[in-house]
Amino acid sequence: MFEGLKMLGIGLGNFLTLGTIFNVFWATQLGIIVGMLPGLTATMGIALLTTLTFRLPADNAVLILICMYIGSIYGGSRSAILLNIPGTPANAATAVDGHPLSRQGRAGEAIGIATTGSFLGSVIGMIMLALFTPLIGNFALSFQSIEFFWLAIFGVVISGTLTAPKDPLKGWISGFFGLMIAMIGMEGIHAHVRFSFGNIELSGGVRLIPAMVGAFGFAEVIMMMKHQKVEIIKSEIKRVLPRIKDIAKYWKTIIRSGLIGTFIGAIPGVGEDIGAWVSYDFARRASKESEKFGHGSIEGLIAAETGNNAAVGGAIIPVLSLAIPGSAPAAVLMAAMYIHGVRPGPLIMVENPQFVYSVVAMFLLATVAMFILGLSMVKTLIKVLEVPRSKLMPVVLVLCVIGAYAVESRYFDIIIMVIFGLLGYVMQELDYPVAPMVLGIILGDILDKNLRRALVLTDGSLTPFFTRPISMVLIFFIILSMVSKMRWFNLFMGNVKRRIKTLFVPGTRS
Amino acid sequence: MAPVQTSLKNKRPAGEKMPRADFITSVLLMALSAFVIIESLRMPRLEHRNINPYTIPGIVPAILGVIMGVLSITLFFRAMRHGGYRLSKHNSAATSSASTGAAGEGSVQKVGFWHKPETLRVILTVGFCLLYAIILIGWAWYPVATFLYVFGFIVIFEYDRTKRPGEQKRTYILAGVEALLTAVLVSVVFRYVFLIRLP
Repeated sequence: MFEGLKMLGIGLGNFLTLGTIFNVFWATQLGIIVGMLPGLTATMGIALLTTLTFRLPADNAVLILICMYIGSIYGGSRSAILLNIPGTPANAATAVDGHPLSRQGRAGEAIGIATTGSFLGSVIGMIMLALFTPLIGNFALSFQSIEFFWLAIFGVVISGTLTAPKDPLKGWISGFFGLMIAMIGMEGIHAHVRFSFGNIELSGGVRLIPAMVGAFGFAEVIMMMKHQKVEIIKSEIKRVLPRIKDIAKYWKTIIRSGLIGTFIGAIPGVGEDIGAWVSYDFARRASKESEKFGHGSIEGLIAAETGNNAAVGGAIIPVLSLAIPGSAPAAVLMAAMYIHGVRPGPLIMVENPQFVYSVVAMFLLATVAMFILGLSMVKTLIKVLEVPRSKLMPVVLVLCVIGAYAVESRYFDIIIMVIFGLLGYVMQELDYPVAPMVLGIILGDILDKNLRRALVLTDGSLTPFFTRPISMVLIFFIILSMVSKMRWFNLFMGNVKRRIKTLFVPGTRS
Repeated sequence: MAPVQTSLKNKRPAGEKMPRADFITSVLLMALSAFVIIESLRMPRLEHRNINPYTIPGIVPAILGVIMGVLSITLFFRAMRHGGYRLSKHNSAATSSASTGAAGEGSVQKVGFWHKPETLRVILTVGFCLLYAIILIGWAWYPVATFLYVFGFIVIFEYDRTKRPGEQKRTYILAGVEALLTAVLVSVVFRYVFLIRLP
């Protein structure tokens, strides 16, 4: 415990130089702008900055990326409030109550409250990050091939279930499709090249960053251009600084949303967007004034913004402790860590514990910068929202091309970007979530190696797959998440509930 | 956990929304799974290298192919149940009341897919982006390609058909300035500040 605090202090001390603070502020501000602009998401922002920072030392680069991450997830609330268009998918729930507030002429207040909510959510996420990364990392040291195999399946299934709650089948298809894509190229045990069809470029496999830049950048450009432009609400922004009593009144909602957001964020491939919706949903159910939700409820706005920023911290927990990303932006962050020679995963607490606490320190700096920047220069910044899409989107695509190309300087990566952009667009049109596919691309290698290793260890026997305790827990959750979405299961549970009720409550027996 | 709303627009239950599209995707996915399974079975078993038979390269892709097959067959039957096999849009709309298409989106009239303005916008966007990313970059010097693309894109989307071409000088000039700025700034900043090789 004290060891951790000491390392956090060292990490923080290392960052308190003028140059670093400067980096923190420009990266966070850039993040806020990226988040504000619909069409530029957090994922895209981090991917672009990865290419820009890959000549910097690892610590500085990861710091800049985390600032971008936190800044953009927060920044999206601005366009959600003012335009009713979430700047990043994470802010969709923010729009539900934020936009009505700005129509009532309370845009400034809404922005202030969203900023405070994001700040507090971020703080909760950070505390959980500091507490749980070492715990989960140490626990994961006992994982063997079988557990990693189940973890990969668990990640894809649960991500599919939660990112497509109305139609989980499509979520699972997306996830397994991602796993299939990961099979392209040279496999990790015998270096045999699979599914390359004689193409040398394909034998290297599908790289994550070009694929993500396509699926979250190019696809977004198409989506944005599809719809006509929208009007900005000309709401005068009066007071941005929130009143403490407004915030303090909802302390329960804040803590609840922060914890829910972190938890959802930590689930593999389930990111800030779902974190915000789930905390919003819980807040509405628990609220005394739930009828206000959807018509400009301060509580709803706080819940959504606290939830999505807390999910950022949550999403980094599995990145550091298991090398499995908790969300799409965290997946790019993880890829960037690999590029800089940091190897996240269970061994990180053994090999490089200082790095974990450095990440917490970075998180703290970015959170503070986000809070300061979020409450200042509001009026100037929202002019960015007036840039018409037809002027902005071509520039975004130019950046997509560079972002895909820069890391490895391969022309082939631009083609991958384009293919995944089209694929991502079609998937969105057909209601397939993209996040499980991305997670699948990452987990494919883990699944492949560990399943085969495990089969060697058990000599082909499948029994140990189902009898080891951690496996059993994972299997339980996999089955639960699949079955809980099926109609007959819900009918059955409803029946069971009613039967139990009739046993204990006299007079309801029919 | 109760279903959580995750989008502002999807209000219809699963499966009823786009049975036709689901039907077609499920057929494509079944074909993909079959292809992956066959390819995996044909993959070399590397016997000459004396490897452990449980580590043959084809084993995991084959399993994934089977799982994907099961999922796509499920989707196939669900789409069938909602009448997705009727390939004419008219029929499917008549049988399942809350069926596909623009009718449910709140638009007054049902406009054919190819006549919607969105379709044109999507085709233009995709076309321009492909032209830039696949053709222009390989063919022209990077700043020139970028200039041409940004200029063309802005002019196409901001061109007002109700006015004569001569009256829209402002649009051209603004587009030209922005294209020039983008091309020069992106090239210089990435090349000399961030030391990245340009395509």
